[in-house]
Amino acid sequence: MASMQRVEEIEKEEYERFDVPFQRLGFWVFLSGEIIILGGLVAAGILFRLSYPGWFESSTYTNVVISSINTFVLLTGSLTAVLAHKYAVDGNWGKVQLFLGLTALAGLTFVGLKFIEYSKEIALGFVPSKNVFWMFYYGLTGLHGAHVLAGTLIIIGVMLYIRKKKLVEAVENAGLYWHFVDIVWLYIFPLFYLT
Amino acid sequence: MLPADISAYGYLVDRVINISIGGIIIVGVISFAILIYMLIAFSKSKNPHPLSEVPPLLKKVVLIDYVMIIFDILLLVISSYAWFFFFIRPTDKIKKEIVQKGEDYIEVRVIGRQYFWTFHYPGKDGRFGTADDFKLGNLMIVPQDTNVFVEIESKDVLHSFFIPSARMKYDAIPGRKTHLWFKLVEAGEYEIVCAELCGAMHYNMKAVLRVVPKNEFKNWLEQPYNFAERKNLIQEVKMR
Amino acid sequence: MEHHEESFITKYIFSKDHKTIGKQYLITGIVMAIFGGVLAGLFRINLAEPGFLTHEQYNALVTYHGAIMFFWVAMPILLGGFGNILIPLMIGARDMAFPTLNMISYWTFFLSTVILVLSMFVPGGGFAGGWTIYPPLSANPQSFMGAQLGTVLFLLAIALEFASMLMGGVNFVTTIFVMRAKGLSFMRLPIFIWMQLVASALFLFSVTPLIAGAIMLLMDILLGTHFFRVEAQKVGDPVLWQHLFWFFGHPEVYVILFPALGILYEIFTTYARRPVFSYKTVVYSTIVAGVLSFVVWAHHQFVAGINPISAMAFSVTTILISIPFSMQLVVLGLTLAGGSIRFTPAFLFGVSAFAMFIIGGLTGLPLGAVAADVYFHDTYFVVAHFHYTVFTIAVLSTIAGVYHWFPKMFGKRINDTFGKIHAILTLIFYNGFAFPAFFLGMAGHPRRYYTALELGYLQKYQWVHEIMTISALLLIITQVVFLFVFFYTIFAGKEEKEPNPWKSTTLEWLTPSPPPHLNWGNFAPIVENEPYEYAKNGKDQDYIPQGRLVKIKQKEPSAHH
Repeated sequence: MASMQRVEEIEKEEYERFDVPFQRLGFWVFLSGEIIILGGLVAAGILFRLSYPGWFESSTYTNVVISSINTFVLLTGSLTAVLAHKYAVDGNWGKVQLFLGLTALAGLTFVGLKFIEYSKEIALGFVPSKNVFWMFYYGLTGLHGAHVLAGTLIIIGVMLYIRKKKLVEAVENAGLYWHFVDIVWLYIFPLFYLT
Repeated sequence: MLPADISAYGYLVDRVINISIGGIIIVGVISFAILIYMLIAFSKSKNPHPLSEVPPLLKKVVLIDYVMIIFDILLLVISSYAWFFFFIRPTDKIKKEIVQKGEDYIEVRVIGRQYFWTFHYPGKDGRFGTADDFKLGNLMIVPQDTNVFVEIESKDVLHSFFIPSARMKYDAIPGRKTHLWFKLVEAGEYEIVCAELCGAMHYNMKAVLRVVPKNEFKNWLEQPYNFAERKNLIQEVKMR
Repeated sequence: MEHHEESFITKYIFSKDHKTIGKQYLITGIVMAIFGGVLAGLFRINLAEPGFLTHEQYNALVTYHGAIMFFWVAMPILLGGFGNILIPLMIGARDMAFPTLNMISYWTFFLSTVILVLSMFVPGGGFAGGWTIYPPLSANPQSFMGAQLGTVLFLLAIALEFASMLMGGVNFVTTIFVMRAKGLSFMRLPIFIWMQLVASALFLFSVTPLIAGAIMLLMDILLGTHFFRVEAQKVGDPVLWQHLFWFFGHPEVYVILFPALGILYEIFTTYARRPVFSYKTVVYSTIVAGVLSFVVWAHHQFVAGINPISAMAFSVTTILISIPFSMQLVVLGLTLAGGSIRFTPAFLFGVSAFAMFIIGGLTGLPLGAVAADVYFHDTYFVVAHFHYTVFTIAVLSTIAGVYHWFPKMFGKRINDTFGKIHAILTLIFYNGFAFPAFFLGMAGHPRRYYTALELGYLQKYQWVHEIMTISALLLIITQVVFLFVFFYTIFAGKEEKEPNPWKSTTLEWLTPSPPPHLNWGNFAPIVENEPYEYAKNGKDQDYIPQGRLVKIKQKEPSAHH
């Protein structure tokens, strides 16, 4: 293949130098898609809330105690994710494992509490097909719960990954995803529980 | 190609169709002519080495873009006019104009179900919800030279109420009422079809449109159930 | 180069090499194309000879034909196949940014293919509600007998396909942004790469609302909610689905159209030996058309109960979007002007695709003009229009690309004479089945009809259906023969040792055919020129390659992943 080439050389580093860490760019591209999925559903929920008169009445039956604890759990998870990233930048990888572990624990707690909440509601007869409120309630919180579970799995995956390869971007992206899920919850919480 | 137009205002749609199809045939033929010319003139046998510049005459082909823009604007204007005439003007306003012009109108409710159409008539008094309302299955009878206001509904899935001969179509949507307005001038029998996939027998969801002279329609309204089409009445419509 | 001891499985099955993944996508897509074509053949026989299929079978075949041709042929071949193979080669990278994600993407796609094919054969039959999946027909289990399982599997297959293409999209955008070779600025990218970039971005932003919609639809089917269903007191909105679907569906058409146009630009420049008539026009009009594609979706719903004033506004944007495309086609056509055209199979397919795009694009105007669409909506005119666009994209352009890049992909060359006959027969039979549909549409023939014989005003056009069926069957036979030749050539075809048989400029032609693992061996490509430096009429050659390979300094460079 070198037949027609002039002899000239290039540093390997120069060829493989990227201006942007591509893990971070790829993750933001992915996250922008996620924002549209969940943002679109939340927007649809808000529109239906405005036009559906029975929303307020139904929302009094949701469990404010469990959801408040869950809000606290999610926010704590965000805090530990930030701390994990801080220690990853500092290079203290033992602490990173600890705080990522705490975040994953928060995720599992959230999903477990959500499960209890659902079973209580279904026992009372509030199934998704009951009315507009409940179908959005299950649709949105269900999808959000799936995202929390996915976030937890991502964090456990990163915990395993960084044992072999100390990659700060991995910790950063896992944390970013967690914050995203957290922010979505901050829209869902008032929409279904506090109205 | 188009079926004969039986309506008073269908020409507005036909005009958009004819101008748009005519325009694209002209642009298409010119484009193809240029393409074939280039394929012949610049084939390797005719032109063994590529020219370093595009021949100036061919650069003028860019004018097609401007022609298209002008054509687009023309098309938008005539199409928007027809659309405004049929769909944007409020029904109340159209009815008022009709009364001012001394024309008649009737109202019909069309209900789509898998896989038949039901036509509800207000009866002699012209008002829905009274005792003389009646309905027909898969048969729509309208008087000639009379404006018809159709309210379309669906009871199950999406359908589309399509009268090819009158150039009119609108979807039947469950949970909503949609509207059409037309005036038919040619007496005779025509077809109403469903234009939105509605299930296995979609192709067979059709109704007869019968346009009759005004006095015949009036006589029929007196005793609609004695009309010869009794066998078409809704109760007897067979599914499948 | 670090030498990987690769087993058969890591080399050909669970490979992370972008070229292998691309070939996997390409071959799966071609096989699905034949499958989708055979489905079309079956229901076309029914249209000529009603009674060949049952009503449910007919509707299911129409549905699967549409879905397969969009999601399992056009997208995997153009994005998954050509995108994966050509993006790293054309931008001078060693692989995609995320090779593992790329492998997962293909196997997710493969799983979706399996589920789709299985969903046709479950008890109760496959989904038969049209590829647009309009509720309430798709959401009401009672709308058609026992098809619930088929519907759920069909939706699952589509969701997996979207997930796989989303992974691909993230990969493409990231790769194009960060992994371009030295000297390859954005305004020097080959047009094919620009098209892939815009297409991936469009897909990422348009498909996501539909995923939310699909979740709502699945809840309607499985949990009995009323997002789109209407029942007595509980009122959902079927039109909401149409908005979500077409907000995705229209950009989706451009997601597959842009890479197809990209292939045509590469082919026209190479075989006409001329640079693109105006590179900047192409780039900017692509971006403009991409942005505009998000505000035209409701032209699929002019008579579907949307506000008539907004229908008129959407008519304006729809007509408006024809302008960037007419500019694109003019630029593409003028690329031939002053050239020295080589009539290879790839060019024959490319130029027929170009000619068919002219018909497809122009016939979009009567459909975009809102008043004419009252008549044409959901008739065969629409069918003809989108076959002149989507068939051109999914078949003519992709086959053009296959002939063009076959030597690079496999180091073999498909027989030229066969290719020329293939191109001419395809063009004839294709027009034989697609063009008469315009006349049926003018006559007011609604689409998705089991037979036209039930309607008095259409009985006289039955012979048109017969002509269309015969042409369609001949077209399918032609493509089946091509499939055999394709595989025969891969295994036993004539070797093509020359790395650059078509004397093309872009980077992928610098490396041997087929390219080695990690593409460039101990060399690295650097870019020094514009992408299409043809018509230079030098002593030895009439073109200047976009870049050249230079040696990498290190003795034992390691792979970057």
